[in-house]
Amino acid sequence: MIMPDNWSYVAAAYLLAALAVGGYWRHLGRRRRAAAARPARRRERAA
Amino acid sequence: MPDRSPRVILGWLAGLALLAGLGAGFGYAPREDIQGNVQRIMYLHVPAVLTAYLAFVVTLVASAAYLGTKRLGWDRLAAGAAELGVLFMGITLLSGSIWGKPTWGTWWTWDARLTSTAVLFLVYVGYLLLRAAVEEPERRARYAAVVGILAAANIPIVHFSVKWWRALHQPSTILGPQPAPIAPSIKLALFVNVIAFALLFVYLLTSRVEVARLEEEAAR
Amino acid sequence: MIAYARRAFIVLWKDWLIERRSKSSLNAVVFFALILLFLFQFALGPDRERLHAALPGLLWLGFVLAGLLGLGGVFLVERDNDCWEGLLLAPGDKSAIYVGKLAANLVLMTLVEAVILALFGVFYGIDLYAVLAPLAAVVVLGTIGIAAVGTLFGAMTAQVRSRELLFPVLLLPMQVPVLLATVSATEVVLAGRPLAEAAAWLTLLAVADTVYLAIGLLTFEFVFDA
Repeated sequence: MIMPDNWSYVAAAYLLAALAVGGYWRHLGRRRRAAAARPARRRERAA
Repeated sequence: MPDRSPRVILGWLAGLALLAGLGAGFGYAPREDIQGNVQRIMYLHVPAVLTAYLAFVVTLVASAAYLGTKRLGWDRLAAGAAELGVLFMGITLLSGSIWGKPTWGTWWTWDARLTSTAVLFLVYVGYLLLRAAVEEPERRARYAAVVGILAAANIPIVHFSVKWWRALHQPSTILGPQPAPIAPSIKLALFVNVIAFALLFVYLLTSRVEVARLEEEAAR
Repeated sequence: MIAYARRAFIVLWKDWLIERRSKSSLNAVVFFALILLFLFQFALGPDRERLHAALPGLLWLGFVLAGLLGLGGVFLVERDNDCWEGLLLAPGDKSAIYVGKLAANLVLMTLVEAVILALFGVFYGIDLYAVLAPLAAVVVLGTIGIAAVGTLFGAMTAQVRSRELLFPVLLLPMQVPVLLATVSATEVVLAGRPLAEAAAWLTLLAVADTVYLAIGLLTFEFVFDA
């Protein structure tokens, strides 16, 4: 064994990546709900 | 009623593949001899960079298709792919930096691969900033398509210039993040993760394109 | 073909006349270059060795920063007095306008670069006369690359809000290869080594120029609009 294990670095890399992808995924979900809600509001106003 | 649209099924598939990738990277693949367990960052780093390049190719094709057809669907595809490319490039840079700290002893080094990744990251952030600055959808699509084509054509030019520049100024690192000979089991684990990331990319891209279409319909 | 060249030349001539009568760009850019020269000196200190080691990079940093000021403005002049509409109404292939504007940019940038080079020669005490021919080759190849992309982006960002920020943010990362190649080649030239040592860099520049010019010619019609 030449190098120590450095598990904390591995965990940090995977965690940050998961946070980035998860954050983007949630951001998409929010945008989807907002877009789906908008025509409904317009219909309400028309009625 | 559970949502059974192809998009949701694709999402589950991508999630399962990512779990399989984690299993392959941490359970199946052996501990690397020289770098130890920190080498397992590779199963994140390499698939992320490959996915980012795939995304930029999609942006190129969609941009050219938009200029040819003037159909806004192509523009939504180009925009979504560029956004995901920037996301995955960001993950590549982060994981490369975290990998570099224990192996090179520094968070950042002007290694050829890291440098060209960083340059391309900036190029495509510029693409996204341009999109954010133009209001009219049709004009934004045209401008973005031109930049999307130019940015993709620039990729090989950036690659070679940075490679030669590095070769000129510093000897290549012996203990790089990419170990030279790769064991077959490591290769297999890498392959599983590449497939998982590709699925994740396709899922997020279809999602992103659909959201953009919904937003345009809502705005109309 | 002749009509195409004529249309391009008319655009160039028009810009030349505007610039010669107003001298708005050239004066400011040359003055800006002079300030840059002082800033470089202050940033690096009086050590001559250090300055000379950094010289190729500083030189191109000066060219690029001065180019940013000049390039951004070439389409902005068209926004006054509805000149933009006039250009749009011009008959024939739109890419002729690109060629004309590119030529105007090249003339402007070459003039500024000549002034910067002369200033560098005087203030930093380098003998430019001995390396003038190989240096000119590097400068011309690099300038074409910057101007080809800069003209395209200039037409784009002239129509966009926050253009002062967007133009450099788009152009600078795109021009990293040109900067790397020209700085490396200039290093070879200023060291007095034969230009053949920089052959790989010159090839890269030539390829980059060709790619940028081709894309500029093909896509300009999509960028230049009302």
